[in-house]
Amino acid sequence: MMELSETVVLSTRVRLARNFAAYPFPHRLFDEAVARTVIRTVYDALSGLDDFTLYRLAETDDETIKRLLENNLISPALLSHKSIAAAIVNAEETVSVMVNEEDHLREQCILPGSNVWGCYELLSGIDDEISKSAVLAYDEHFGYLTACPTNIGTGLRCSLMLFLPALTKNGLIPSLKEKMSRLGMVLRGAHGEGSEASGFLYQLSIEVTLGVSEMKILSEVNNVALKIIQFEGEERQNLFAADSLSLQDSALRAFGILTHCVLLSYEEMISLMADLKLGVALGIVKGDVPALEDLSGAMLDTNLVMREGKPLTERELKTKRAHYVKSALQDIIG
Amino acid sequence: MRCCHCKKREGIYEISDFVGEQALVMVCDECLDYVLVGLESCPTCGYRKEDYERTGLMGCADCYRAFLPLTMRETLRLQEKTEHKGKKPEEGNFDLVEERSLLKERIEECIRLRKFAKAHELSKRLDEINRLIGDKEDE
Repeated sequence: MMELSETVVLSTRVRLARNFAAYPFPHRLFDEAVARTVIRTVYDALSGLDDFTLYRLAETDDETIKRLLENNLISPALLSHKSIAAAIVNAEETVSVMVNEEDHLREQCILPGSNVWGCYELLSGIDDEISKSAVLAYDEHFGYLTACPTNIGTGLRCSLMLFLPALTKNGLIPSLKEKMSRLGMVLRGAHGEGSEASGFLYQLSIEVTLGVSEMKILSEVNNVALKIIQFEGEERQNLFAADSLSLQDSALRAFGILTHCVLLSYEEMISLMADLKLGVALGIVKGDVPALEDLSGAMLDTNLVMREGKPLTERELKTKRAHYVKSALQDIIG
Repeated sequence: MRCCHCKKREGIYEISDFVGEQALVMVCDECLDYVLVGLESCPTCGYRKEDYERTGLMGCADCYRAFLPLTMRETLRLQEKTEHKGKKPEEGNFDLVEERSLLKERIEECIRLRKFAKAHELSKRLDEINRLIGDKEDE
């Protein structure tokens, strides 16, 4: 049986917002030479640390941009400054630095599972390296200065991707959202409001950036995550006790379709995968929730195109996805 | 605490005195603008206060000081607190007393998750901090 936390917290994301003290914030940065200087300075600072790739968005093809977007390595907002924007991404694609988004720098790290400390340690090292190469906008009183005052202070945002099928099925998400809001945190559907019903995926994030230190913020997120893990665990047991046959039926039905279908859309896969993941988490089906989550990510349109090395039609995407999912599930599900 | 400006109403905003030595003072809603006087446009980048009202974004780092009353009002509205705690660019590290108390939490968590190698590694850092700051009280 898997560790409960691994089946609830699927990934952790931490980001830091930073700016160069000497230049206007990106929405007022009209001098492309200055924008290039910002990009070059950051890329040079990071090159010594790891194998980073620089993507200048103005020179990057649409397919690559779409892939960076789908893998959360860049944000849609970065595209609105395309002529001056860049992304610097490490080889494992766990760390990315968006340059000239809303702020000069949006440094972010995404790691699997519940790992706020791991994310922050990695990111803080990168941040220190950048600080050695540039004077960052910092005020003794207000901390790190950002284009929007909602980010000043630490410039830190921490969020967790949560898989909460039992809390969703048992109707407990609205009250959990309310509790989180009282703690200064936000719980929302991972793909926007109302998206939770399909994959039971949620994003938990903390909003405060001023007056609370990085360590305190991360510790709070971690402690809240532990409570949510326990809560979801209890509700999974209740769900199982109430109607284990239905859960077994849904999980095995999902497994059956996923391993025998010929055409598979991404949306259908996410929905079936949610039932299968719940079955695995409850021990009905032997398997590995993080591996199923990785498989879902790998089955995004752009990742399939990259895997095939050529453009694919809608129909080809569906057949390739069905084919890969079938073969991967034979390894993941025991 | 009474408002430091009108001395009549109850102060509701806790702010630092930017002019002096960062002493803590309380200001009421009505007096907030009088206590802190700001400029109409930023001397560094030429951004105007109304540009902020329109976009919700500052123009450059110096805008925060140029529009101090606006900055204070917005940080109180958006953040509830006005004074930074945490990392500084030149230091790259944290308050050691705070780091110690959080290290203790992390070590307990590692032990609970049976990640003993990581717990051992963190304990070494804890010993190092204990040597550096002795028996200073945790927050």
